[in-house]
Amino acid sequence: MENIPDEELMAFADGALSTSDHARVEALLAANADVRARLQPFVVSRAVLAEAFSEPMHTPIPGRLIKTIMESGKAPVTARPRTTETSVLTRLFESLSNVIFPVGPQFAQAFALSALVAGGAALGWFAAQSSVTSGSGVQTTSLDGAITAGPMLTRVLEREPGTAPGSAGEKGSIKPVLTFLSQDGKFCREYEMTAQTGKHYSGFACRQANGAWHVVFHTESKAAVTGFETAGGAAPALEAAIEKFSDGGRIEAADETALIAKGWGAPPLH
Amino acid sequence: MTENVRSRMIEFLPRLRRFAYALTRNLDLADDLVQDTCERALSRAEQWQPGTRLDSWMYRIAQNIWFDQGRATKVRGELADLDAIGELTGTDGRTVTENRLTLASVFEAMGRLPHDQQVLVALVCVDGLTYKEAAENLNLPIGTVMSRLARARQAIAAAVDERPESKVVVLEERRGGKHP
Repeated sequence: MENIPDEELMAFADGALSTSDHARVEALLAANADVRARLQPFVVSRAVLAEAFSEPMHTPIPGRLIKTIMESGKAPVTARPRTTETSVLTRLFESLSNVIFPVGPQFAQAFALSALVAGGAALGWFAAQSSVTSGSGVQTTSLDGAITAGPMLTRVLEREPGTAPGSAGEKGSIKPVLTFLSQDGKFCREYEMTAQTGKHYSGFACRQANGAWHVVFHTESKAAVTGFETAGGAAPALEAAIEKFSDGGRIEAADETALIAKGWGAPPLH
Repeated sequence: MTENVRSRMIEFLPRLRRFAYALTRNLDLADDLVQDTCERALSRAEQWQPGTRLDSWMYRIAQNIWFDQGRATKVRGELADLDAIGELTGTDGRTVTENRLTLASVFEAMGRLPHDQQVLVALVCVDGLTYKEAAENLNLPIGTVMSRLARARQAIAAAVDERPESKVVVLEERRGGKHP
């Protein structure tokens, strides 16, 4: 059993060792599976953390931040802007902000190491991941088709028209909202959930050929749902996701009822 | 002098936003924190000594605002109950737990770390500072920084590892793949 401290393995993963130390650790890793296994958390953590928090590097800098820097402390501060205000100055700097994104940290070292790490596949799956945060500050998570609707959600999506009041269960209630066709030809339905905790969630799921409903997008929505209408702007990220995912039009109530009556069936050919 | 500080702050904004995002785990809270950090920094711009690092100084201001004002406690658990109704099920039949949402598990693991470890992770793994720079920022010996950082990263890797089957994908990429 090689007695190499965690800190040294971490420094190796970060490319922070001297050339001679680096070579020594490399030899240890090549010869010892236990040491390779201990290295992995440091390689994985660096990669996932860099990815998980990279979003601000890819989004424009809000004008209010530029404005704060340009104007703060120059004059007596009255009401400071909390939301984006577009002034000529702001727009100028927003266009500049694309230019001044710095180059991200250099993780080539960590990624190169992944070949050394047994089971380094963990790096691969994360590369395709991200989170979306809606403008309203509600955390949003988009999911892939590996998440299917549970029994109650399935029943609501399969059987209840958008005009129905929804179904209530032990932990909360679910109601369908609108139905649309995805660009890859699946029937998809938006839903709203209200948990016993009082929190609201919304998302959409698409019906697979085998009849299962796969949840594509799910998010906590900030605003309460009033009656059959979603309160305005409750989940802009959801609306944006639907817009990107759908083929353009929503399925009207009469067609929706007909589809439910015949058990959905095959979507129309494109 | 102040004008020079302002333009350097603007250059530094993307990194400061990312640092703030790592601490807050919410983009809007991050931008609020960045705004407050810039305001405080400008209100005491005379405290910053030209020739020293502006980024370290502003990171310290940001972490003080975030942790000292108790804002950090407000966002705990925000992601934990996306499946409050228990209606999101994995294809293997198991109920989706909060950790099933993998990105959430990274965010949560970060949130569970002690404050100084969160800062360390943000400085080294997110921003890319060296151990020495992070040690100077936190005013800690480098050995302490390395051992705390190692523990923090083991915790985060463990949280990710617990649900290797989890997948969270970017919608555009998913669509892009199907509609080349």
